[in-house]
Amino acid sequence: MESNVLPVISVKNLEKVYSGGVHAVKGVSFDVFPGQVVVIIGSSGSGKSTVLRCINRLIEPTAGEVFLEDVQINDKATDINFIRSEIGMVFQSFELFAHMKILDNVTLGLKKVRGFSNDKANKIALEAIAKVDISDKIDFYPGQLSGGQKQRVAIARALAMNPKVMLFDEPTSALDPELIGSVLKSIKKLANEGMTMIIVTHEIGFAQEVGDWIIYMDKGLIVESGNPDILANPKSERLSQFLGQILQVE
Amino acid sequence: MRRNYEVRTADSVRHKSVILGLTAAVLILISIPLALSQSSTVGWHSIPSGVTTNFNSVVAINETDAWVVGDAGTILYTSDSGQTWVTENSGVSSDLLDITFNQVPFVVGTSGTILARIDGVWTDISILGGPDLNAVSVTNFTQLGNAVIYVAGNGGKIYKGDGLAFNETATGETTDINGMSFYDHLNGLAVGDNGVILGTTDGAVTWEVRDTPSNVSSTNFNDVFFVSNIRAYIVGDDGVFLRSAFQNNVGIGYQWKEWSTGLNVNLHGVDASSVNKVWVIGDLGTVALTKDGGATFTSQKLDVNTTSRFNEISMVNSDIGFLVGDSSEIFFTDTGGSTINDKPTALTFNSFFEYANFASPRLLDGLIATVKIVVFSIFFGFTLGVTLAMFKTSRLLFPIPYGFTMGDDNIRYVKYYAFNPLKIFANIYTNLFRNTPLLVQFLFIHFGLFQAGVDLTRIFFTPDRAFLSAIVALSLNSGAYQAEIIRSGIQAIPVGQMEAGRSMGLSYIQTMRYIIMPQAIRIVIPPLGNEVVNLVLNSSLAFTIGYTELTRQGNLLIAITFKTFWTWGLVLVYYFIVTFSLSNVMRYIEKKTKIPGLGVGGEI
Repeated sequence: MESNVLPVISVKNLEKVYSGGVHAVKGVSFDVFPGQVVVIIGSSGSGKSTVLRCINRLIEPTAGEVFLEDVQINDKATDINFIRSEIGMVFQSFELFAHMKILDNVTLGLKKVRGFSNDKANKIALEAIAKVDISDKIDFYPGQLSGGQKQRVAIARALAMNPKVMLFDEPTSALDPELIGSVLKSIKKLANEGMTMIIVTHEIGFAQEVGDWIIYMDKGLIVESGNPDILANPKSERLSQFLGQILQVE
Repeated sequence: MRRNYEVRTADSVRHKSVILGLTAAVLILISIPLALSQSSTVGWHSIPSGVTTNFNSVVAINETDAWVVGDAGTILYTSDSGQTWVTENSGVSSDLLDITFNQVPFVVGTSGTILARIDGVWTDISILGGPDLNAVSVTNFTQLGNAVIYVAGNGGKIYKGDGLAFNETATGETTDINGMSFYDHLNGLAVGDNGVILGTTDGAVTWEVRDTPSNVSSTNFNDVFFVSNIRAYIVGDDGVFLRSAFQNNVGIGYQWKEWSTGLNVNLHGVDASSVNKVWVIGDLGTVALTKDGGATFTSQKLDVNTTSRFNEISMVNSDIGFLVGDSSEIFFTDTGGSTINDKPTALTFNSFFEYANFASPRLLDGLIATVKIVVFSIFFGFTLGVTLAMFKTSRLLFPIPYGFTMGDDNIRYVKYYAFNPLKIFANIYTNLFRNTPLLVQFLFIHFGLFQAGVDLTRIFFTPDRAFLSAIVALSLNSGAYQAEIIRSGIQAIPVGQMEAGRSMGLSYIQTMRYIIMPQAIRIVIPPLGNEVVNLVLNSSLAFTIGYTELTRQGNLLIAITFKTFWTWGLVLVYYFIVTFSLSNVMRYIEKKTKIPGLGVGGEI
């Protein structure tokens, strides 16, 4: 790893205890460097989504530190709305705004957060939409789109804000197998353009293909992390078990 | 058929006599009030004078003494409430048309006739070649030559004189003047044919034409009575009754409002014993009383029915008075003309359409009043509802530690109570307003708070307190219900929408405003529609605090018409029109704001 470069995202000893007493994340640390694609894999309940949400403070970390470059995200004094605008996020269930047309979905953040004019916002939005190949749908409502199209709009929405890093929370889990391809293609395209990304996914093949760094989490801890090679030759027994189960299913 | 005969014993005979005795006692007890009330089953008693002529005017000067004047120079006098009449020598043969009293009686009649009763003798002070004089008013008298006498008659002529000479005043009118009344030596009113109302404020130096309500602009006015410095009344043909509207700094008699008498005859005389207690008389033996300044009239009964035209009424006080008319009719009352059986002058309608025609303008007034409070209440209620719903779903938290919980890793963690003052306030509010009767809320806000010193008219810019109370009560109540509806809409939006908005960098308020609320409100438009309809229906409770909305108008209509079936039926129709249109408006809004591709809409 390039140790003399400032990481885009730096997670240090992150812990999260939910109010019910569930200790979801038990001291997780990792760095994400510019242009790097970090893929977090793990079974359900392993805490990977919690880690992702702690990064843009949708979930308040109980302990530890999270940095965006040199700004501590989980500091009370930080302007969290500005930090969030610098971190794009794509959700499992798309979370498009159903009452807005596709173009308005993408321009909302540009207008209300960045304060751009209509023309400027539209121009940026159309570029982002073109990148995910749905320029023909800008006047449609989300309800009129397929799942794959919706997720690509969600990617365009995050991308339009020109974020320093993008977070993907199981972006293909809610999609039919035949629709996954188009979404993965869009993500791969971003990776090739040098976008820094943290991806939580169950798609092992995709992780292997696009990931620069793989983190395997189980029961709130990072069990194993390394180059995508670890997916082919896991060192820990738990990862090989996990991979075995996934491959069986596929 | 078999019949069992009872064997009479001494006991049973005694028993029977006790029953008979009791029955007799009860009958006597019942008949006493009946006998006592006999005198008040008739309001007006005919008191024949023995003189056959048309009587045109009467003046009663105290409880026993009165003069009556009539055609062909007739003057009668009574000093015993009309039991005996003395014919006085008028010395003229013209028809005498009006009489008034100020120290002594004054009479006017046809062909400029003016008489004054000086030292017990009728003295002729006529205007030679004068017109027929219909009205006389005397504001000051010590002796002839030192008096202020006004007489009015045909051709728009009004004269002012001192008893020795009369000078014509400039009225600018040519229509006949039928009635004249002076409140004091400066302020007077005169009325005549074709809706003429004249007023003077300078002792008839100048006369001004006053505004006549447009719908009675061609009605012949027959009499006017200047009751006090705040009130005057006019009567005319076709049952027309006008009341002066009081204006600050201007005085009265400048604006007039028509009040329905429910009488379809020409009215010829008006007199009042107080500002609001007014008698009117007219054709076909009509006499009616209003005790509320014209809002409702009550027909009064005569002991001898007549179809003669009544010409003048003179009340000494609220009990004692005389009225006279054509065909020698003279009536006297010592009960104000009232009886225990008096009924309001219920209007008669030949068909429902005739009634609907009469009722519609009044019900429309009520409808507009209802719509006014409903529109304001919907606006304020919705604003309040949105605010409270935001409170209820807000994240503002003051964590208060209250204990420990064991984590899944056997470590003890502090438990927090999420104290949210906004939410607590909103919950208390909605519970209070949803669990108490709206009627009581109305009464509390209108009467309770007012007594406690909360005068809404000081806070808002209208003096109509019932109007404000109705809006406040309806808004506060509806706000509570709308809050619950909108809260359910907000909570129906997936939490991911809030996450998506926040992750984009929008603030909580921005996310609510641009993402959550637009979707939540769309979801709750149908239940909000129900609530709006409920609000309209609930607005009828404003009736109880005296706000004249649709229901109260219906009630007032029934008070003068007795048509309960037609009235309430029409009121129902009017409410239906409002609520049905509102539901359609809500359905239209729902359709307009529907998001394509969202929600099952019957496409499949």
